[in-house]
Amino acid sequence: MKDLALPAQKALRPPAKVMRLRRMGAAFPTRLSFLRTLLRRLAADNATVTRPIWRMTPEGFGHATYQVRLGGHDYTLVAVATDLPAEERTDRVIATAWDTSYVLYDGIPTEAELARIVTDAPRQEAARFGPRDLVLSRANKSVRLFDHVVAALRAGRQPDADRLRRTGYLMRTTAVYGNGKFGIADRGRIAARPGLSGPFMAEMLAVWLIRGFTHDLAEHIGGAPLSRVTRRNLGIGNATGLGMAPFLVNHPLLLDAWMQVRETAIARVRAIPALDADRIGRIYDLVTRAAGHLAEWEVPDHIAADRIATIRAEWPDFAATLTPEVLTGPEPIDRIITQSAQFSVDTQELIAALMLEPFGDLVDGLTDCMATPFVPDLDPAMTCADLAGLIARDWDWACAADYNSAEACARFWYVSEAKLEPRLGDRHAEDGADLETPLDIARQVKALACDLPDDATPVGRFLGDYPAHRAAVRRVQTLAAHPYAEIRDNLIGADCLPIDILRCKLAFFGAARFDPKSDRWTRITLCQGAPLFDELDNADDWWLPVAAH
Amino acid sequence: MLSINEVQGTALKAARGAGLPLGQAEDLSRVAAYLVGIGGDAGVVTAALQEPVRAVQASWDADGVSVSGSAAMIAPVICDAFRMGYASVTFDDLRHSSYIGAALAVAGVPLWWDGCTIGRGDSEILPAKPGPVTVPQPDWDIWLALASRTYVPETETSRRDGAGAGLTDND
Repeated sequence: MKDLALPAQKALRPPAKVMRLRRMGAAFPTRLSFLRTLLRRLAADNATVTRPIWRMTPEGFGHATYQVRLGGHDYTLVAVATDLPAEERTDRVIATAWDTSYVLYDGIPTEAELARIVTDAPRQEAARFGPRDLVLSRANKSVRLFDHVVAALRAGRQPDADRLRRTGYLMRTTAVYGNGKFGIADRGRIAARPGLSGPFMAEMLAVWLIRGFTHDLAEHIGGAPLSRVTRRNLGIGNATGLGMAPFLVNHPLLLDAWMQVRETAIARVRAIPALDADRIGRIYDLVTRAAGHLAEWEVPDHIAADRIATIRAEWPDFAATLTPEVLTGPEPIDRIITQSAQFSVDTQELIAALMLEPFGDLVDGLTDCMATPFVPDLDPAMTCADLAGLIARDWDWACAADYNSAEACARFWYVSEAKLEPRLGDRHAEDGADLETPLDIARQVKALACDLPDDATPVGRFLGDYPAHRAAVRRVQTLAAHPYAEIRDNLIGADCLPIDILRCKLAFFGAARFDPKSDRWTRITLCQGAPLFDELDNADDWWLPVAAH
Repeated sequence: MLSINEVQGTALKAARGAGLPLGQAEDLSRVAAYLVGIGGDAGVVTAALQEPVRAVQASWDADGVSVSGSAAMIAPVICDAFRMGYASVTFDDLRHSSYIGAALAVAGVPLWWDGCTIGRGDSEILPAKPGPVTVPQPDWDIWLALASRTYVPETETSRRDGAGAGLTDND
C-alpha cells in the first residue's frame, strides 16, 4: 500500500511576521515561483517550440509566430514588431505605441486570425480581443542595449559582456495582460488545462516565448547568431507599477495560497533530520552563486542599494555559520534558518529562499496548491462577540492606528480618469480622496470594531443595521480561515511603501534583479539564465543566475 | 463580446459609483457575473444600479424576516437570513424579485416564491458558463458611466507622481 503520509514539517512562520510589508518587500524568487514551475512542466512534457512564421523586413519589422504544445494543447505566440518613432517611445503604461506587441493565442491561428492579431496587437488597450486570445503584451527595446547588440553582431563580434550584465535583457515588457482584459479569455477557459492551471501560467508562458523572440529579432537584424551563453544571460525585462498592488489586496485567498505554499515549503525543509554530502555540497554551491548574484545586482535607488549592500556585507558572515558541524548535525536547515534571525530581514529572506532550492522532491508538489477557485465568503451566523474576538486576535496591527491622524491616512489610492491606472495620492495635498479606491482595509476593520457589540447578536443581523461594514466583516472572517490572506500593514499610512507589495508578487512570478525607480515603480528581469527553447532538458537550475562568461 | 472578468470588474466599479458600500458592491458584481453567465437579463443589474440607495429596514422574527430597502442593499441581508436558518423572507417591492433571485442563486440558496415572500425550496440553480458573454450596449453604457464616477480626474501632479514613474521610464 502506498504511503500517503505528508512529509514532516516544523511550525510555519507566523503570519504576523511574514505578512508585514517590510518582509514581503524582501522577497526573493524561489523554486516555487511561477516561471520555475512552468519550465519544469514544459520539460516534463518534452515540449518543443517551433517558429513556423517569420515574416520580417531586414530592419526587423513584421511578425512571427512561435508554437508550443503543453498538456495536450497547442499555444501560439504572435509577435509583431513595428517601426516606433523615438519620440513615441515611453515605457510608462500611458504609452500608446510600442516597438513590439504580442498575443498568446489558444491553438494555431488561421491566416485570418493571424491577420487580425497582427493588426490589433499593436493597438493594445485601444483594440478588442477575443476568447482565444489568452495573453496580451507589449515590449520596448532596451535603448541602452539593443542597438549595441545589433551593431556588435553586424561587426562580427559578440556584444560586450559587461553591458549585457548591466542590463540583462534586450526588451522590456510594460504590460502582460491576462484574465479577460480587453476581451481576452477569462482565466476560466484555461483554469483546468494541464500546465496552465497554476496562477499566471499563461502569462509566464508568454513572457518566456517573448524572451526567445527578442533573441531571434536581434540576430535577424544583426545578421549573425548570439552565442548560447549570451542568449541564456539575456532575460526579458519588465517595468511594473502600482497595478499589482490592488491585485494582491483584492485577491486575499490567492495571496494566502501563495504564502501558505511558500511557508509550508520552508517548514518542510526545516524538518529535514539530516543532510547527505550531495545536499551539503549543493548548499555551498548556492551560497557561492548567491554571492555572485549579489555582486552583480547594482541599482541606483538608495533604499534598495542600501539593502543590497547590507546583504552583501552579511553574506560572508552567514556563510561562516555553515560549518560542517551545523550541516552534518541534526535538523540543519532549521538551525540555519533559526540562526538567520541575527541578520537583516533581506538576508533572512534570501536564506529562506536558498534553503528551498536543493529540495525540489520535497516541496515542488506544493505548487499544485497555489491556485484557488474560491472567493471570500461571509458567515452571517457568527456572533458579534466571536467576530470581535477574531479582530482582537488577528487585527491588532490595524486597530492600533489612529486613522484621524495625518500620518495614518496620509495616502489614498485611486484610479486615474485619463488612463484608468491605479495611482497613489497625498490625501492632504491632492484632490480626489473622496473617490478613493477602498484599499484602506486596516481602517475599515477598525471602524467595524468600533461599532461591533460584544454580544451574541448574529453578524447577519448586525449587518442589517450597519451595512457599511459588510466588506470588513468578510475580510475578518476570511483572515480567520486563511491566515496569510492579508497584508498586515496600513496601506494608506505615510510610511507605506507600495514597492514592497510589488516585489512580493514579482518574486512569486520568478523575478529577480529588482531595480526600483521610486517607492511605487520597479524594473525587474525575468527568465535571465532560464533555459532556451532547446534547453528544456536542463530546465531547473537557474535560481538567482550569475552571468556566465 | 465581453469577458466575465470585465463584466464583474465593471459592475463592481459601477456599484461603487452608484453609492453602494463596498461589501454590497462586491455582492452586486458577483450577481452581475452570474446573471450574464447564465444568459440572463443584465437589465436586472442595471435597475439595481440605478435605484437610489435606500437603507435597510429589517424585522427579525422567529418565523421569518421582513425587509425593505433598495434591491442591492436588501439582497445581501436576505442571503444572510437564509444562511442563518430563517425559513422565509418577505420584502416590500416585487420589482426587486429578479435581483434577489439572482443574488440567492449566487449564494447557492434554492427558493420557492409567493409574491414578495420567499422561502428555501428546491428550484434548480442554473450554473453560469464561462465567457465570452454579452451585455446589451445600453446597459453597458450605464455601467461604464457609473463606474466613471469612481475615477479621479488627472492633474499634472497625478500624472507625474501618482504612478511613481514620472512621464517616461525609457531604458
